[in-house]
Amino acid sequence: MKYWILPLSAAAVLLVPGAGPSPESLLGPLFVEQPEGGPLVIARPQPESPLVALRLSVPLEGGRGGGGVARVLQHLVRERLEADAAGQGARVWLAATPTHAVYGIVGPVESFDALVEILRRAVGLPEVRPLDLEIARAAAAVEESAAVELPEALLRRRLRQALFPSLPAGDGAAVHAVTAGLLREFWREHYRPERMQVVVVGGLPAPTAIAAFRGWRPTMEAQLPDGLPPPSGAEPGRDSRPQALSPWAGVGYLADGLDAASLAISALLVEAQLVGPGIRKASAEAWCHSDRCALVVIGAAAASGLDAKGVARRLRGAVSESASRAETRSVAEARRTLRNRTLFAARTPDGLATVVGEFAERTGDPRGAERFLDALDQADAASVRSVLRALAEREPATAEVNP
Amino acid sequence: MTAGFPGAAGSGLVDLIARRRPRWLHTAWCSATGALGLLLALAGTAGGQNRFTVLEEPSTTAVGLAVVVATGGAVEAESEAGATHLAAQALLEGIRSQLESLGGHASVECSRSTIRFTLLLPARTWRVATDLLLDQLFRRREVNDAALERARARVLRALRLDEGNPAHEARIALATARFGTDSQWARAPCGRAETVAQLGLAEIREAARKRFVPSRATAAVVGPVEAEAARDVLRRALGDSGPPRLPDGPRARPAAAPRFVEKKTITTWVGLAFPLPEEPDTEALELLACYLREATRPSPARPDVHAVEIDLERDGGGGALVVYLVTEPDQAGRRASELRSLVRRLARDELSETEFESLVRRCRGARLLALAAPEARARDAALQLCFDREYRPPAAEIDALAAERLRRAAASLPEPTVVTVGPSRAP
Repeated sequence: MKYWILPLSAAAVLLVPGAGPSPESLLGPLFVEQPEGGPLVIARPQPESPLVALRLSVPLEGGRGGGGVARVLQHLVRERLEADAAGQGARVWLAATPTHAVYGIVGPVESFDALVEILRRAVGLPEVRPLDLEIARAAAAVEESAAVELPEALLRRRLRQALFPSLPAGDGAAVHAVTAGLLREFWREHYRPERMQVVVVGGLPAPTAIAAFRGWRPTMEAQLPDGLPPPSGAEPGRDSRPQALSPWAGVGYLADGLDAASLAISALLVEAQLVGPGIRKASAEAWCHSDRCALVVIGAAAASGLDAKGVARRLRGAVSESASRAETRSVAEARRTLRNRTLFAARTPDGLATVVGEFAERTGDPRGAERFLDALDQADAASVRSVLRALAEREPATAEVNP
Repeated sequence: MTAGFPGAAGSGLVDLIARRRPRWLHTAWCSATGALGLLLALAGTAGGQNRFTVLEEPSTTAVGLAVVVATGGAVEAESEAGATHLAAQALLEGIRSQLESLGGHASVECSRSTIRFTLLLPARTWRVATDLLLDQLFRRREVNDAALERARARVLRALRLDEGNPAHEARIALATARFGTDSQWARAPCGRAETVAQLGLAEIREAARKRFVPSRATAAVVGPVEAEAARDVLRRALGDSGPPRLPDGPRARPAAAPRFVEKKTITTWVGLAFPLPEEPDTEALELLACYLREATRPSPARPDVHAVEIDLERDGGGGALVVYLVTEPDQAGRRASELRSLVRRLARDELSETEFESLVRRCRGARLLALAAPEARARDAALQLCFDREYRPPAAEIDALAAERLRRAAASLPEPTVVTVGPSRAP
C-alpha cells in the first residue's frame, strides 16, 4: 500500500484495515465502485444537501518532481477551470503534493453533470501557447521558492527527506526544467482514469454519482507547442535563504511497528507539552508514507533565549516527558479532540470529500477515514504510553534553521 | 380562533419551519371538542415556530446552533455604547471552558439591531452544550469579574483594530448620513473602545438581565439531531409566546446630496445605502446583490476597483442594501453613479430569460456555498425567523424566483444615501 504525508491537522494517520465501520460513524455510508473505463468512485450521499462536491486525485508515484510538474499542469488550467466553475455557481480548489495532484469542485447538485464535465477538462492536457506555459512554470516556481524561504516549510521539507528518502527532496529542479515534451510524457503516464480516485459527496444517490464516471476520460490530448523557450533565471529555491526571525528546529521519530491511532493521540499530547516559556510556536504531527509513519515536532524559539539546538532539545524533551503525562483523562481528551476535528472538517460536502479522499489515498482503503475514527475509540492510555516510550528511545532525525 | 397567528391559514407554516409534520395537526383540526386544545396547541406551537426551528440533517457530521437576540447598539444610551455586546461576550466567557470541554466552538457577532451567537458542536454533546448556552443566556445570565475582564480584553482588541481603519470610518460615515449624527443607529455597532473600557460589572449585569430575554430571541439547530428532542430543548429556553420583539427600526432620512469625508488615504471608500421596503423580498434582493457584485467586482476591465462588499442589512424597520466599494479617488464619483445606474436599469428593464437563468445559476451556487456549513445554515434560519417571522429554505426560495421579481425588487429601492471617504474630492 502506498501512503502520503499529511500533517495531523487533518487527522491523517495510518490505520490497520479490517475493522468494519462503526454504526455511529457520521462519515458513512460510503459506496465504492470502479465503473468500467473510469476512476475509482467513492460516493457519500447526503440527501438533505443542495450541494455536491467532487474531489479527484491523481497519484504521482515515481518520477522526479511529480508534485512540481503537476503544479505546472494545474496552473495551465486554473483560470479556465475557475471561470467554468463560476458559471455554474461552483468553486474549485487545486493542490499538489509529492504523491498526488488534487482537483476539487463544489457547487449546486443541479449542476452535477456540468461539474463532472468541468473536472474532465481540468485533468485533460490543455491547449496552451508558449507564453501560457512560461507563466505556469513561473507560478509553480514561486510556490517552490516559498517552500524553501519560510523556515517552517523548509524544516518540513528537510525532515521529510530524512524520514522518507524515497520521496523527492524538492520540486525546484523539475519545475525549472519543464518542457512541452516532459509535460506530455508526464500527463500520459499519470493522468489515466483507471489510476485516479474521485470522492463524490452531496445530495444525489450513489448510483447516479458512480454512473457519471462510467467511461469517463480526461479530454483528448491537445497539441502542446514545441520549442518552449528554455528556462530563464536560476532554479527556484536554489539560492534562497530562509527568512527566519528566530531559531527554528524540528525532530522526527520514525514510528515503525507502532499503533497509528495511538501515534495520532501522542502527537496531541506532545504539542500540549510544548506550551510554555521559551517556545513561541510549536506543532506535533503524525506523518505517514509508504508503510512508514513518523512523529514530527517543529518549534520556534521565543524572543529571548534558545538557539536552534536549544529548541531541538526542548522538542525531544517534550516527547520524553509526554509518556508520564499520558493518563486516562488526557488521552480521552485528546481522543475527543481528534474525533471532533475530523468531524468538524467534514461538516461541508467539500470538507467531507477531502477527509474521505485523503484517508483513502493514505491507507489505500476507501473506508480509511471511518476506520480511523473506530481505531481512535480503541486507543487508551496504555497504548499511548507504549508508543511514547518507544519513540523516546529512538534517535530522531533533526533539522535546524537559524536567522 | 386562528386569527392573529401569522401564516395560520394552512399547514404550510409547519412544513416550512420543521422538516417533520406534527401528527396531531390533522386530528386536532377535525375534532370539534378539541377546538380549545387546538387553539392552545397552535398558540404554543405556532408561536414557538415563529421563534425557533430545527433542520434535521442525519448526514451532516456536526451540529450548528444559532441564537439571535434582537438587541444591540440601537437600544443603548450614549454612555453605555457597547454594553450589550460586551455583556454577550461576558456571558459566553462564563461558560467558554465548559463548552470547549464539550467540544464546542462558539462565537458572538454584533450589529446595531442583533446579537448573534453561533456554536459548532459534536453530535455526541450537542444537547448538553445547547442546554448550557441557553441556560446561561436566558435563565442564569451570570457574569463575574473574571469573565467580564476576559471578554473586555477580547472586545477592546477588536475595537482598537477598527479605530483609524478607513473601512470602519466609511461605515460610520454612511450610518451618520442615513440616520443623523445624534441617532443611536449612527454609532459603531459594537461600541467604542473608550466607553467599553469603562463599563462596570453592575452595568454589564444589568444589560444582560434586561436585554437577553427569550421574548427577543430566535434560534435554530441544524444537523444530525432528533427533531423533537431539539425542539424540546429550544422550547424550554425560548417558550412559545409569539414572534420575537424587535427594537423599533431607525428613522431613516430621505437621501440627501452625496457626502464627502476627507481622510488622508491612498484609495477612496464609496458607501451607498439603498433603503429596503418594510416587507422586503429578501431572496430577490439577495439575487440583486449578487448581480451588483458581479457587475462591479475587481477585474482587468476595472483596474481601479480594489474591493467591493454588498450586503443586506436588516433591522426592525426593513433595513438597507449596503454597498462599499474601494477605488481610486478620481474614479469614486463615476463608480457611485455606475452603481445607481445599474439598479435603475434593472428596475426599468427586466433581464431576458437567458440572462436571468444564467444569473440565477451563478448566484444560486454562491448563495448555497455560503450556507455549506451547518452553523451558517443555523444562523441564516435564526435571522429569517427574527426579521421575516418564518423560515423558508433558501434553495426552494431561489428556485421560485423570476425575472419580474428581480425587477420589482430593484424598483422597490429608492435613491441611496451616498458617502465618499477619501483623500480628495472626486471630480
